[in-house]
Amino acid sequence: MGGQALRSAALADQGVIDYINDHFVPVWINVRTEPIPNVRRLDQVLIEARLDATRHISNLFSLGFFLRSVVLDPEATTILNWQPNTLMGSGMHLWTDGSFAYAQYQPDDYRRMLHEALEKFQFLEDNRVTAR
Amino acid sequence: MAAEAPATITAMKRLSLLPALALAGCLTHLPPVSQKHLDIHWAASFDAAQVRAVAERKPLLVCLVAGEIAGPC
Repeated sequence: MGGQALRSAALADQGVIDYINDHFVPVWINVRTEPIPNVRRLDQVLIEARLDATRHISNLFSLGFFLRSVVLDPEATTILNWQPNTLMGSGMHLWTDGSFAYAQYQPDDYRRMLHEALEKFQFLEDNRVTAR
Repeated sequence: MAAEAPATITAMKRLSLLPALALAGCLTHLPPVSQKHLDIHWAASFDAAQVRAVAERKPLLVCLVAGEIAGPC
């Protein structure tokens, strides 16, 4: 699903907005005009999308419909909301969870995704501190 | 109290909405229905977001979207 569904559903929900503002650092990247950040983990969520040499998405279908919400740790080394990263896996995710991988747009689904990612982050942070 | 719908029926209901949402969304490049999503404290760029995330020890939420944040999408 596209950005219209995301911003008119999950991102229009006050609970989701507050949760994001309290716990995350969000950034919106328009993949029609901006390159995909040169972060290895983000390459893992592209699935069917193809990049050109400047890391802009180059296939027309993805330029029309691309949507991924990816939660990363601050160093961008870990995906905190890991979901299937193959076309078949994403299709299965649609059947089991009601959205393609990384493409949740319903408020409840989005809040749950964020909450689980935050729990994973807090677990990693706790162990990071303990390991010092 | 109404019985909870089986998971398969719930999934099928959701799937039935997808074509309509797709047509109402990026295919037609509609402007945003509301501006509520602009209440989110969006960083100006990925680099700016990461600097802030490291400083505040918060995870990054990276929304990769085919469309403008405040324009047609």
